[in-house]
Amino acid sequence: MAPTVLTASTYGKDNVKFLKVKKDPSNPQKQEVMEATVKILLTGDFDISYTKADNSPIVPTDTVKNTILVEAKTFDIWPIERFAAHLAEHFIKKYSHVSGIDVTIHQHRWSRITKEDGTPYDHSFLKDGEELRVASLNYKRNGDFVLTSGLKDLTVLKSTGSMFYGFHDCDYTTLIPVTDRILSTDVDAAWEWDSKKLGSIKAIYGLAESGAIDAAFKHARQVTLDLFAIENSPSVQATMYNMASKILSLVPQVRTVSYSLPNKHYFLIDYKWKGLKNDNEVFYPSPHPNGLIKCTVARDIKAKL
Amino acid sequence: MSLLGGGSECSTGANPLAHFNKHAQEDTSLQQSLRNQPGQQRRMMLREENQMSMSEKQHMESFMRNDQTGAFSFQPMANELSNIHRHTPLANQNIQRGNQFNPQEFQQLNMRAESAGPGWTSEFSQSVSHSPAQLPSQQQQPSMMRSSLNRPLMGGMSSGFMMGRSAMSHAPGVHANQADAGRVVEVESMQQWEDTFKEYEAGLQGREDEPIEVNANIMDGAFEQVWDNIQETYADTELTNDEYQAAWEKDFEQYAISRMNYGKYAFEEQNQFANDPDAYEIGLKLMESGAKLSEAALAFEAAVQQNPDHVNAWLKLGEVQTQNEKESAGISALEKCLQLSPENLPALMTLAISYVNDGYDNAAYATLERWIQTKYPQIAQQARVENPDIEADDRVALNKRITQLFIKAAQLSPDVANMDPDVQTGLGVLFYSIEEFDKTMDCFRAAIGVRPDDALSWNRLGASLANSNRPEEAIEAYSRALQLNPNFVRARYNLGVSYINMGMYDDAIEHLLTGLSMHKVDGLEEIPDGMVSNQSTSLLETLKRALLAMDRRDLIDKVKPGMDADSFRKFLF
Repeated sequence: MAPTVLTASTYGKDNVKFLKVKKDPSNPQKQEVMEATVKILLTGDFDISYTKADNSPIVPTDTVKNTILVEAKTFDIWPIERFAAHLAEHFIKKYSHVSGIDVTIHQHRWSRITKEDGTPYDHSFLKDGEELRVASLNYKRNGDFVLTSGLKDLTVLKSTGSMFYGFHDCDYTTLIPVTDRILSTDVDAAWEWDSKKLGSIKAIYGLAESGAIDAAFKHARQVTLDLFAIENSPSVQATMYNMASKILSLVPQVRTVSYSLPNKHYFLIDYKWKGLKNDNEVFYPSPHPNGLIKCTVARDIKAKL
Repeated sequence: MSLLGGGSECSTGANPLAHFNKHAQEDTSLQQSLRNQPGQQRRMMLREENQMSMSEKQHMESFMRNDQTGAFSFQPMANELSNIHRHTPLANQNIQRGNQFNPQEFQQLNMRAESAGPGWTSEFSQSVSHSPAQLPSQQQQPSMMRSSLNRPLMGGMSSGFMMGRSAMSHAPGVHANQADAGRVVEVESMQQWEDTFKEYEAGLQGREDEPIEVNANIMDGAFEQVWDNIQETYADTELTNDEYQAAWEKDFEQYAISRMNYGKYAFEEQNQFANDPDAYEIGLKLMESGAKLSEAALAFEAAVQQNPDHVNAWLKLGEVQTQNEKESAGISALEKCLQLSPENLPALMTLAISYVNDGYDNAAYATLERWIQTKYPQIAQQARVENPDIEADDRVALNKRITQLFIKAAQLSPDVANMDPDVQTGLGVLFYSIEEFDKTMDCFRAAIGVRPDDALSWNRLGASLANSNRPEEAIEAYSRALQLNPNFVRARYNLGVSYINMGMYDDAIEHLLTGLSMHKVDGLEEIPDGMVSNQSTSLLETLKRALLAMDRRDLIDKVKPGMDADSFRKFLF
């Protein structure tokens, strides 16, 4: 066999799921839940496990799972970014041969059920959608870190207020320009925190404590929904750029905002055979293919006072 | 940007609104009558209100319309006011509680009045019984004051005036004062007083917003929005200075936590001044002698490492690093300075500006409020009473509130000679953060007017020009700043930014590289990987941006901390 060399490797546990209940100390019947899925991948001095079948450096993935579950119980895991930072620091501190770690946490949606007048029930929840709140953290032993927060699978649709015309034309193009179409997407938005502004991974705890992380999530989600609804969108590209710019203006600690938006097409059903005109009334929800548009937006350079 | 106000009492110790209150507590009608014929007495009182002449009114309106006319002088009005001051003996100026109606003062006035001739008393008891608006208890006085203060104009003055009138109804014979006790005013003029007063009382009682016709003619509406807020501030409740301080601290903490990085200052590992006991003095000399800012920074770093409680060294370090285009380092140092000395005015102002640069607008507003509370305590205290919570999320409302405080401060010294350039700077920064660049520039120009050789002010003017899309003029302002201080790295950085915006990438890169080279200090050995503690990420990132724009992505990798500007130039030119 020709000589080979291992150039990169990483391993860990994926799909570690749990649901944590937080009880209000003054009224234990009042509870909060978090259902999460955690993935942890480690990098470090593990080469010999691949190349020499030497398992001694391997921290079993089962141990990784145990760690996640124990820390989930003993530590305050709201918001998930805080939990990610805690897990990252734990692994780097505990295992000297781990040089880097990637933590990804998805939080599932459980919204408190409310009465008709809006008063919430103490411990009953409703899964209002498949939307996920995401946190991913890359942390290295030398202190470098990158924290990204986001949301995904937020499915939205607008029945008008979307256009697409003036696009490039060539002999392969058959698309008809329109000024009135349906726009539907599963929003995947992510905002990367400015590591230099934060300084060290410990800053994440402060950010969580002050509510800045939750506030950023709230802003990002609301801006997305607002601009989606308000804009008479000339294109997915234009609308996503505006959303990203708005989020940047609201959260100074964020360095870049990225969107990945599938354009889930709805096609006008043809009634010509029946002599009817379809005035943007009945559509066919096309499952595939779908458009896919991505962008990343950062702040422009600015003069300094 | 001079606004009306007037008087020469702008010192931080005295209450800046003192002259308004004086007006209230001393009925000056007698003094006026000394100077004028009795029949004109009432008109004289009114004319005090109407001091803003037509020309001044025009200036005001032009300012409000954002005209570019220069600062306009209130000298005539200031003169009139100081005339009044000369004639009125100082009364108890207890302004600590704002223009709150002070019952003790009334006692004094009453007593003085009693000592006047009996003729006075009878006149006034008559008028008192005439007036339908007998307000027997002192409790009602504050409310009367409040309603009187709905006058949107020169709020303080008219309110003071009204106070004078109300004084009349409750203190028989209050017209007298020490100097003029016993002077008898003609019955005729008294009758005028009574009539006017009756009118006023009638108007007051029913509706809060009753415009006071008698003095209606000043600045109608020009200051409406500015002063409207002030009306509510003359409330019964008051916060002591300590409570206010505590409330402010709480809000500042809130903003502070969310910006974790600025916690600790990162020192350079190699520092030629490290063991020099005169490091601080050396640092000062370096700044004066035009040495590189990085060198001065090292000296100040040594100073604070030797003595971590050296407030001025932290302050200088913060100032130097921000000018050196190392914002994070500057902010760390300034925050440390403020930990040691929470009321350090230059630190507060510089820190607020740095927050704005980094996008922490709310923190900037909190810091500016702290500044004005420290330098102009009465103004800030009144406003705090009106609005005890800073709305953390409502950036615009917060900005408006702090802006009004600064405007009040600016009005204390409208003439250029007394203008506080730091108030103008603060005001400019507030307008800048909500992108009202025209007003921003007016403010910075005013500051330059007072300090024409301040490179920092020129740089700020340039930055506002740049952000309102006037890069050529911005470049002129930056160049002026660099003439005044060739080591001003920030101004050079800004030059780079403006050149990029104009598409002149070669020039931009040249300036950015020069800026970077100014971070290299002789005596600092070459460190592998260029690990210098405080990097100017903005310089590096902007350099990359310029390279991107001129399609030299191949060079982007070469842009990194510790890079050598000179050898980099070879790749390009």
